[in-house]
This record gives sequence, structure tokens and C-alpha cells, in this order.
Amino acid sequence: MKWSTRKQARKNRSRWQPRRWQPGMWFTTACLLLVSGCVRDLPPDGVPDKGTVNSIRESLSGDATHADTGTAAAEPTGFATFSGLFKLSGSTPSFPPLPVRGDDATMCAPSANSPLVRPVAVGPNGGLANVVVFLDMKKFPLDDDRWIHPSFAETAGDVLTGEAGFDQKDCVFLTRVFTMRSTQTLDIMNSDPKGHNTNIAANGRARQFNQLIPPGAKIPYTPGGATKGVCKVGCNIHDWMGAYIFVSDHPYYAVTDENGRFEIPQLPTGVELTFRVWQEKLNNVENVKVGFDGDAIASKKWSRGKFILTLTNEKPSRMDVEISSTEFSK
Amino acid sequence: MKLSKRRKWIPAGYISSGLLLATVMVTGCGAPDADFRANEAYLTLQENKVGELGTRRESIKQNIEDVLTGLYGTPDEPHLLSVDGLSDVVEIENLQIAAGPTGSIDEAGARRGLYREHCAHCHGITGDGRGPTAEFLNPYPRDYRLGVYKFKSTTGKMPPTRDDLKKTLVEGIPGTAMPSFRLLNGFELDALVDYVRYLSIRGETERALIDYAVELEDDQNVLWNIADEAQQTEAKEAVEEMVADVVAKYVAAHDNRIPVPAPPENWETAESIARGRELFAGPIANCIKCHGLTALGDGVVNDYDDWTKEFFDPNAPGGRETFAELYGSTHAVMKPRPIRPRNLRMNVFRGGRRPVDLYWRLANGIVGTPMPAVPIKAEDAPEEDPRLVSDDVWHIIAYVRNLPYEDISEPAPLPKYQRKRH
Repeated sequence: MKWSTRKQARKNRSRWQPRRWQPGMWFTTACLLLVSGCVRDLPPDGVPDKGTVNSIRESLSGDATHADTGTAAAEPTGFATFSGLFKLSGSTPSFPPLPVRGDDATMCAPSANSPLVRPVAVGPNGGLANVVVFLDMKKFPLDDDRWIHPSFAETAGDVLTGEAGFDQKDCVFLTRVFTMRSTQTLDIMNSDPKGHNTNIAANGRARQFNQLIPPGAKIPYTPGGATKGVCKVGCNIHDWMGAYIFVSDHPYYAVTDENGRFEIPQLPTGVELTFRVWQEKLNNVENVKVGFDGDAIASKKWSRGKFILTLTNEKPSRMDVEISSTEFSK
Repeated sequence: MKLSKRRKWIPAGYISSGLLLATVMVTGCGAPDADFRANEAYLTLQENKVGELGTRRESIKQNIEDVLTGLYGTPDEPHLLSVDGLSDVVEIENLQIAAGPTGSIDEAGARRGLYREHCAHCHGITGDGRGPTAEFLNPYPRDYRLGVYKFKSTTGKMPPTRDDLKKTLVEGIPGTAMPSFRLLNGFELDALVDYVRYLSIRGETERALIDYAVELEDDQNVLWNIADEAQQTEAKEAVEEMVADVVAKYVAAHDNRIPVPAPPENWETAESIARGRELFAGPIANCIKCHGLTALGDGVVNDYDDWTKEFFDPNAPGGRETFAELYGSTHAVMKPRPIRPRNLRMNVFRGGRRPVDLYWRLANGIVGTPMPAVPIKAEDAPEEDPRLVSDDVWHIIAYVRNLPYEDISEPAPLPKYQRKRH
């Protein structure tokens, strides 16, 4: 707009029509901005419901009239072995080689081969290795001979060392998924010529551990309590190194071998047992095709990685589980 | 003429905006009541791991908040349950001094609201390390909800003692935004120490509740149903166990301190420093791997701390996607920052530069970070055991304490009379 026409427009304006940008209008706008600026864009967070809170507080501070709701009914009748096979159907998923970096590359990748560790380890017949099957029950009497076979007392205080220990070579943890009891001691070893650190990110009641493992050393790890599920183990010096550990306060757990087989001996029979199945890529193993053989009674659907089973006295039971490879590409 | 016309208009504009301002001042900006924020990020993370809650998410989240409020109260009115040991670990009187709005006073006229006055702008009202200033700070303020602390005298992941936390408050954390609160009274410091513990205990309980909630059956919309007696009994037992588990660690903390033997007689002599340098670069302590040969903190590290790694683990399968989900839509986590090994030549040690502080760092590592513990053997251990004896740890400390006074180009030069002339 030309200057002369603007002047004309100003002349034509009535007396009470405000000029285009008055200082007062600037001020008003600034005020409006200030006010709108006060709106908080935090996500709305629930306000606790007073009635529920009071009821919860009352119940928590009340002198616990522990109404035994008759859960003590079932008693084990004996012991039996439970075993099984995990298989992968479909094509074996592929993973890129691990990124070996840093000045330890000659030690970690001899003859320039990156360590061959795969999150989904498939055996020659399609067997799925490194799947953990463990008894996962909130209330499990740990000091009752009817629930835990007396023979397990012998191994409760074992020191897991040598072949049974936790070793690392060529910057690979030799056991990808390690299981142990909370009362046992684990020797952490290093068969490499340089130092590693082993960092066990244990949760639950198990002790956390992060120590340097000098070459040729044997450093004991005493968890002192069970983990909540399976935990990560790593080496911060070689960040591609990874493994998993499961520490249990009862002896009823197993890891599948390279053929996908597992066996849990001497389980209490005649009572409902809740098992959980874990695999490192899937976490809780779900969406499986499962078949139990004759004597095991499976109640309820397999969901959230859990299944419930009742075993029959002195009759070994089996299950066959098939996981589709599409599960791993989700 | 023009001038006089303008003068007529200016007052009118000011009057209208003045009125507006007055209205705003009267009604206020609508600051919401202080509220503990739910741990959205952890809930999402556990959902991804265990199973989606779907439409049940909101009701379960609300229920977790109800249970937590039942247990621990609100930012204005803290509450403590009579669980074994909890009243020894944190004292309700202390919490009351620390809680409440800034500048408030109680019936007796004592000042309250210390936490919000001194801590909340960085650490957040919830203690989630997400106060308004958090994102501008490097390192980020600590998120108490994991119950993990770096600078402490206790073994492993054991929580710090009251004295450890008090030391951090009094000294601050050199090299970070954490200042010293030396100007507060003793009882005010005690109150803040207890309040920080309280927020940790609350945060850890929340995580346990989330772990429990994602495992609920598909037909359960709440973890604690006040209408269903059987379910309530079960929930009550579970919650009590969670709280007892968390509290037990704090009860045990004081008895789980790292033993600190006396330094050897020749400690911090030239001989001791030379031995320390040898160990510093050696394969057992392996300090150079991260801190670098010159101890400038320039070794190879491609890592994050545990608070970050929980949500951002580039090495884990799907680690980057998980982070993108949390950061992108809900902004529930902050941008990850790689961890840096300390430059040991600055004479700045975050956990304190007293010899005992450094001994604790070496003997226990720094929990929550990649820094591992140096393997220490008992005095009577066999010679072939490659671990270090405590004297060696002291020698490393002697070397580290001497580093700021050394020449970088020639670590620990020999005394003049020993140098060879070429």
C-alpha cells in the first residue's frame, strides 16, 4: 500500500476507530500471550480417588485379619519329571554380525570373524536353544520336603566352577543363558588375555555385581536371593558382549540345550504348578502350538508366557512346543 | 495535532490491558495442586515386555496411584505405613518438614516445604529427575525412583546410608549442577535426607506395583479391588511384600558398608605412586581402558548410565524403537547422553576427593554406571590369585591423587637426579 493511500485511510477513519497498532494493543497482546503461556502441557495425571485411597489405607494399616481363604487345600502327592522340546517352525531368522570395535578387535574377533552369538539359537533339527522354563509361583513353600524333593539339598550350596562356571573367551560369554540357585556360588572366569568386567544387572533380591575380571581369575558371585525373572549380563568394556542370568530360590528351572530339549526333575505332583517360559528375543513366550502328553493335565490357556500344569505321581510328562519364526520378526 | 490525538488513545489502551491484567492476577494462572507424577515410561516399558494392557491401562494406572497414595500420601501430606522398619528408615516428622508447598508453615509455626524450595526444580516433585530445569542440565538430575545412588559407602546396590546422603547435600557434587546445601540447619538437612529416601522408597514400590500390574489376568481392571474381598486380601499381601522388600534394603544399608582397611605405611610416597601407575595401566585394574593412558578420560567407551539404558539400549534388539516410542509421543524420557569416563587430572571427583571416597569408588565401582569394582582379595589369599590386595588399591588412589600435578606428556616423570642424559 502506498504511503499516500494510507494517509487517506487514516483520514477516513471515524474518531472511535482505533489506529492499527497502538502501544496499548501491543501491551494487551503481550498480556494475552503471558496468560496463554501459563497453560501447562503436562500430560493429565490421574488424581487419586479419596474413597479408594482411604479404603486401601485402612485395609493396609488394619491388624490383618488374614482370612485364610482355604488355599491350603492342595498337598503334593509325590514327585515326577517334566521334560519337553522347543522347536522353531519356518525359516531361521538371521541377525547382523555383532559390531566388534576398539583396540581389542584382534583378541575379540580372531581371524576377523565376529563372534557368532545369535538372539535366536536354532539347533540342527529346528530345536530352539536358550529358552528358560521355570516354576513361577508367588507362594511356594521353600522349606517343605513335600514341595521340594530332599535330594536338592545336596546341591543347594554348590560352588559352580570350571565347566559349570561362567566363563568368557574371545569376548563372548560362553554361556548365553545361565541359571543357578540363590544359595549357590558362581565362579566368574576370564579365559581371555585381557581384562573384562562382568556386569550382572540383577533385580529382585539378588545382589547386583559389577567387577573387573582379570585374565585367568575366578571371582565368586553369591547372589544371596532370587532375581525377578531373567536379567541381563554385560561387559562395559566390550559393549556387544551379552548374556542372561536367572537366579532362583527353588530348584525347578531349566534351559533348553542346543537341540531345544529341557528336563526338570522331581517336581511335586498332584498340585497345580505355574510355569513361565522366557526367550531373550520374545521375553514371555506366547502364541505357541503346544501339545502335552497323556498324564499331564494342563489347565487354563497358555498366556503371558505362563502355563499351569498338574503332574501325576511318578509318571514323567512331556510337552512339545512349536514357535513360528514369524514371532521373531514382529 | 497529531500528538494530541495520540495522547487520547494511549490511556484507553492501557486501561483495557490493565483491566485484563488485574483479572489474571485475581484468578491466577491456574497452577495445579502438587501431584506425584506416574511412572509412565516404566509402565510402557513393562507393557512392551510382558503384555499390552490395552483399554485397561488407564484404570490400572489410576489404581496404582490410589495404592501409592494409600501407602505414602501426597506431596503435601506424606504418610507412612506401620511396616516393619519403615519408621526407622524415614521419620514422619522429617517428611512433614520437607513436604508441603514452598514457604508454608505448620500449626506450630515451623517452616515446611523444604524439598520444593531447594530440590524440586531439578529433581521434580516426584523425585523423577524431571523438574522444570532438568533438561538443561548436564548431567541430568538424579531420578530417585530406581533407588540407585552412585556416591555411597555401602556395598553393591545397597542404598546409601543417611550419612552418605547428608554428605552429598553438604558438599554438593563437584563438576555438576548439584550445589552444596551447607547453609541449611542440621535438622533441615536430616529432613531432606529422609525425604529423598521416602521418594526412592515410593518410586521403587511404584515399579514393583507396575511389575505386578502388567501380570494381571485379562479380566482384572485393577490390581486392588476394594469391592472384592478375596482379591483385596491377595492384593494386600502382595503390596505388603513389595513394601517390605524395598524397606529391607534400607534397614540393611547401615550394616552393609564397604570395609576400608588402613593405607600401607609407604602410602603416597614416590614408591607408592609408581606402583599405582603400574596398576592403573595393568590388566587387573585395567583403568586405562576407559580413563585412557593419560587419565584424561579419553578411553574407548560407548555406553550410557543405567537410568538411560533402561530406556535406550542401542545394543539390545529393538532398543532404539523402544526409545523412539517413549521419547516421540509422550516425551516420557529425556534425550540420552553418553556417559563419559572422568578426566582424573582435574582434581574434581564427583563423589568427593577424600581418600576414603576414592577407596569406596574403587572397591564397589560406581553403581548405575559402567565403572566396575576392582577385584580385591583377602590378605590371606594365595599368591596366584590375580586379584589385588587392599594395599594395591591404596597405591592406585595415591597415583590418581597425584595425577593433577603430573606432566601430561610424560606421566609421572622420574626425579631429576635419576634422569639419563642423552
